[in-house]
Amino acid sequence: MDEKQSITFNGMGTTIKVEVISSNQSLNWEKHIQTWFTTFESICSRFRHDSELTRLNQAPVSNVIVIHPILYDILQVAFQYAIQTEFYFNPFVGSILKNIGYAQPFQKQKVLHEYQENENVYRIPSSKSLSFFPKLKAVMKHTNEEIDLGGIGKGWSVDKAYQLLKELGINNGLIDAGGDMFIWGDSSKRIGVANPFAENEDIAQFVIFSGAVATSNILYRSWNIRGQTFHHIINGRTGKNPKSDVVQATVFADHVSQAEVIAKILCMLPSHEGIQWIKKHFPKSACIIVNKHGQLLISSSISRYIERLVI
Amino acid sequence: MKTNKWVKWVVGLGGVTVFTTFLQLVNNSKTDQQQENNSRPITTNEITELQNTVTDETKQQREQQLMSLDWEEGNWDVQYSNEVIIATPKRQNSQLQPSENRTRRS
Repeated sequence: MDEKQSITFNGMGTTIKVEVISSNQSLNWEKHIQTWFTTFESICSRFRHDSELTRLNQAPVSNVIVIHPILYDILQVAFQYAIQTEFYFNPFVGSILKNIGYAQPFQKQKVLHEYQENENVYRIPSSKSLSFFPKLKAVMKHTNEEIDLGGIGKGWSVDKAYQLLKELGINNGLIDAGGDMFIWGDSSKRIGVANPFAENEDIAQFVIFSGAVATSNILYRSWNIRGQTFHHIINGRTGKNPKSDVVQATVFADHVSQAEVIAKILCMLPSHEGIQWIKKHFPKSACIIVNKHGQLLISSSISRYIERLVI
Repeated sequence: MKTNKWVKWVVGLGGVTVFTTFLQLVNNSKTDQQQENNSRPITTNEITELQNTVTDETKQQREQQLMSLDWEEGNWDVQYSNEVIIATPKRQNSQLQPSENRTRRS
């Protein structure tokens, strides 16, 4: 008989919750899932001094660097999205984030470094900024800018966790890594979209059977230095915090990594432009944008993903 | 008797001729009208009307698709267009209690 099983644990700087419906009690899926997220974080976090990503960030340019296959795979995905989005999404923003004070996990931030604007140094990366050597699982950097895999890394790790559970024969479930969600199966789930202006309320709720969902928001991970407000979203084409009327974007896509990338870019563009942009670049995706006036802009493609919307 | 017979023939043939001529005239008139319509350039108003009809149909289809989502919109003023639904809050805060599962800022 099918039974709901769930696990909640901390990882990747957030709370991870996994719910599955399965008749098999002996799959030991909880251990597999925890091991996966722990391993991923230990390899791909830029906040860990001993991670593979930190080692790569500290390595000199123009050298072939053999890296962990997991880091290799996520880098390839991230770099492809960077090219596809003309570097609006840009993994080479690690140095900039450090420069504006985001040098530790957000929860641990106590003292923020002084912000020293260094705009002359920033150059938009190109498709030649990183070379891949598939047989070696190695890369060669052609820029000194450090790599940050924060959002896309979390999304990609959820995609992989879903694959892992599917391979174990689990055909119904939900993975939620701090709001990055993958939902699958034949039973509908009701999901809330947090209100960016009142965290303890939902601004919308939807009913969904399957799909990937991610939300980006400029209000939560924001901080002040000398009267100037900064947040964690960097426009990869300018190297700066974007100026947009969008405060939050929730995106529906086939993969959480893709939803993460799009949600981030929608926070960079004026809300009406965002609707056009998603239609042009990711027509199969959908979004719910919240602007600074509290308006919701919902792309008509949302009917691909959800059965019902409550606002 | 013979005279009557000839009169009947003349009247009969005349009637048929008049009727045929009348039909031809009507037909020619319709053809002329069609030719005139075909050769006349379509006015801007007519183009706009045509576009509006197409747009309205697309919009209606789109709205039907969106309405099929069965959504509740009590607290919002909602505008539909082909690409986007814009919901403007009627009150300051939404009234929705948080769901058990939520997507939020990451």
